[in-house]
Amino acid sequence: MTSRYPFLLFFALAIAASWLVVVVWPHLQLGGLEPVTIEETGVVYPPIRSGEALVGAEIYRSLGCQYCHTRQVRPSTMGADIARGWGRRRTVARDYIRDQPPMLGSVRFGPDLANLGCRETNAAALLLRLYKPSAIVPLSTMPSYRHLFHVRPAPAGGSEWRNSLALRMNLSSDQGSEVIPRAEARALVSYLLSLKADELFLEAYPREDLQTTNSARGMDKARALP
Amino acid sequence: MTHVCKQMLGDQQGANSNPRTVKQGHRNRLPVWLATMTVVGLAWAVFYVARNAGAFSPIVYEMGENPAEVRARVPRDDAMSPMHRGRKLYGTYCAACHQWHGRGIPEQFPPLAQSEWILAGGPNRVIRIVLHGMDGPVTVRGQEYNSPMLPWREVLNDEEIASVLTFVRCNKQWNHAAEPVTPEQVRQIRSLTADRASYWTAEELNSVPESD
Amino acid sequence: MLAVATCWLVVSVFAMALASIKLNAPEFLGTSCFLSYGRLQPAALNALVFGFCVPVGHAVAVWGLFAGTGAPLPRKDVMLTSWAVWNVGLLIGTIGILRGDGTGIEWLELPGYASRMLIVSVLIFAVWVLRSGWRGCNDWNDVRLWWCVGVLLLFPWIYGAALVGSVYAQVRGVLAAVTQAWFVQMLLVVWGGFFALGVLLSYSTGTGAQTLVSDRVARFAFWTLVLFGGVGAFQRLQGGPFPVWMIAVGNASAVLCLLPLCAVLISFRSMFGEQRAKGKTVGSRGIVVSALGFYGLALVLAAVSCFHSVGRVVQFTTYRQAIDMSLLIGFLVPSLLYAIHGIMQIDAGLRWSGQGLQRALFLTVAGGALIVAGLVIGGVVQGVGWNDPAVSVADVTRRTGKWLDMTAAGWVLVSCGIVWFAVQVCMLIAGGFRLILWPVARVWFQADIAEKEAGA
Ligand code: HEC
Ligand code: HEC
Repeated sequence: MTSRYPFLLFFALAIAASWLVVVVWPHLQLGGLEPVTIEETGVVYPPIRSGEALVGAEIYRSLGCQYCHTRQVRPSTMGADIARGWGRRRTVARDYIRDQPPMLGSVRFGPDLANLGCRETNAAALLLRLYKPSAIVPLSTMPSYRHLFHVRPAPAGGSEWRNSLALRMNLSSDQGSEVIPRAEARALVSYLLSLKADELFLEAYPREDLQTTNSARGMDKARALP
Repeated sequence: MTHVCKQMLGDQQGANSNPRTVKQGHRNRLPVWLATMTVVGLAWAVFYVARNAGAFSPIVYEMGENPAEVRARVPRDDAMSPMHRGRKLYGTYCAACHQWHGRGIPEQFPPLAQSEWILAGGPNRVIRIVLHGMDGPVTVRGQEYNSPMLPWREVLNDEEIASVLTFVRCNKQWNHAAEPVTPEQVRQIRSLTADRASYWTAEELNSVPESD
Repeated sequence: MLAVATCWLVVSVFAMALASIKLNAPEFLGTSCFLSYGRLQPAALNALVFGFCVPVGHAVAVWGLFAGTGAPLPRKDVMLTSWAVWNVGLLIGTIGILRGDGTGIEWLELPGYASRMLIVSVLIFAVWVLRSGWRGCNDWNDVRLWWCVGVLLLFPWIYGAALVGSVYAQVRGVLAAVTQAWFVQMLLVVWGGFFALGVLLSYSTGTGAQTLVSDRVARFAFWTLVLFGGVGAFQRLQGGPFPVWMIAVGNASAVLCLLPLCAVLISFRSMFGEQRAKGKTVGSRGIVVSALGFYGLALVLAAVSCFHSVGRVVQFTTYRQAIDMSLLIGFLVPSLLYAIHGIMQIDAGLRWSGQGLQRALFLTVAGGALIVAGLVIGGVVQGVGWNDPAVSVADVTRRTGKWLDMTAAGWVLVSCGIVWFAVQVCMLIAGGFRLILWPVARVWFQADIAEKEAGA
């Protein structure tokens, strides 16, 4: 049988081959992706997240939301993600270039969040969802993140917190006390609101027959004009 | 070395000491079916990858497409499209007052983003505003504004006005998705109001039907 | 060495206990932030992989390398240092994950400060293996040694490369996910595959390793597994935001992975055939068969999910977890337990109560089967639910939940099995304390004398 050197060499080469193909090649290909400027509006996509949203991303990571929620939308040929309203197009690598780590998630115990900021604009609803998921969906399997909130007796003269009011309205069990989101909760919510992957650019245009949103249709018409 | 091996194998070692019990014969060659499967499998893999890998391009995300098809999907006529030209014109003529973000400046310039004037059913009123300017009190998104907006009838031709209004009415960034404006519509209104020399006021405009 | 192995075992039991809770966590343990699913799951997984699988794998390989060759362990202190650093790092890291410092990259969650310790430990270890391995073994014709060295060096390679590629370097966006997929695939399918297959081979059969080297089938399995197994990592990215060539290549190699699987099965079959011919009873054949079954199941599940019609259902569901758990709990853990059993038996000359071992392993395997079945069926149910826009979110959760209960039951069974195993190990150690300690001390003593003689 061969001696040890050729064997170890071949072995290392075989491992390196998979490493080159699986890791290095994509790095060469996708590592240089740049943000795009959307022609019609002049905005740069993906946008830079606000400082608060970046803090929120850290909290998202540290609470492990990505173990139950993905942040990746599949095209309508691959599943009902788009039909469920989780996005208007599939996600592509460029959507994530400002994320580190991307927190794509691998299992959907809950809905996809890639476009949460597009379908949910009400911060109070998100806060309530974090504080007490079962207030929105009975028997929800989403854990409650109560430690992101202060609960204290409501002051007699009404609360000075706008958000806490909205929370209190929905929580019959917590009557008489008010729930105040901590800074972490607010940061997390501002991150959630910033989750949008709906701009269209080179590789992100869905196949023609899949365009459904009315703004896309409006643009088509505009384009069809002389 | 055999000694070592035997030691490793503990109490099962005995079996190995007799070379005859190791039937090298039938295990020593690759079964034909496995070899065939390998060849077939490799051929299939090459075929499959060649067909589906989109020429290994980083812009292809759908099975079975090629980069050219993806590029073809991008709206081609960009440089001449109304949206594109409108965006340029907006930057040159309107953004100074109404701002790039379209939210205007509080107390001075009304917003265009989500403005009920812009998103009206038809472009009749906005075309008039842009042609002949606007003055007097106006309420946009619940806020009152009262300062003059200059007329553009001399500066912009029909097509340019149509482009800039198409841009503001269809600007996705402001969540607008109204009908685009055609140069034809602008030409009509221009000839209809050719004798007008003064600014419009909100009241006057309100008596103009939104669309024809 | 024995002490080392048992320590790992205790860690693993701990991890398993945590892991068994984790799937109930969404329903029952939502109140404490430290025990919410998003933290408990990664902590348990990391403890299991890095606390049990990897170190035991290394321990077994080292044992094969040195105890096997009869050579005393050179520079034991270095190895123990590396081991200690590893453990401390892991402990800190696990606590770090529970505190919310996880990196957010699945399977590589250990926070930077902890994984740095692991890397240091692994580097010390690799250097130690290289130096002493090179010196200590002059008989390199034994494939077993290659195999040991391969196992020992592979892990530092992939772990280092993966950490650099995803956690340390400021890589952008999805690239971290690509590196992560590669790491998991290498760890489970290639590293774990070799390791466990090797263990199963050497412990379950009487045929020596030499015959294996010259065996074309085995060599074929080896190389195809290294190649396709690694590249198959792309297959994990299915449906994600990755250019389609990655997915296509991944699908192709995941299907091609069935070739080495066939080859492995052939090898084992002919080996069993031989044994039967000799009329020898193989005590633990059930274990081997079931472990192989899980390995095969995982590869087949992965290959099947490449097909469009299946993939669109099972993507982003617990199906993917089923594949990983099948490899981890069904395949790797029983083989490792078995290896520990083998080492302790031979080293210390102790007898296990055969029945107890069988039962513990049986519980583990049965639990593993429940886990995998629950995850697979749950995954399909989940996927069908998500793919039908008419089904409400709550309904999807409810339907999947039933099957996840089955998985939770499986975890409870597995932890019973593991605890049983641990108890036996403890009893073994307690009962035969002198018996264990004595030979070890003697080996050290002899080594000491040998060194002195060599010096003189
Ligand atoms: C145990 C799994 C689990 C974890 C962990 C989890 N969620 Fe959820 N989440 C769910 C489920 C299940 C739903 C579906 C609705 C329900 O049952 O409450 C959901 C729903 C949601 C929704 C509503 C989505 C929509 O489309 O309206 C949001 C927002 C959300 N989760 C955010 C988060 C955030 C932020 C975190 C991390 C702090 C998190 N989730 C962690 C399981 C989880
Ligand atoms: C000198 C600054 C200025 C510029 C440049 C300008 N506007 Fe205006 N615009 C105004 C002011 C001021 C008003 C409010 C008039 C009033 O108070 O009656 C207004 C009102 C409007 C309105 C109606 C109210 C609303 O918010 O919807 C539209 C439509 C409009 N402008 C479009 C345009 C377009 C299109 C352009 C570019 C071609 C443009 N404007 C350029 C200052 C300006």
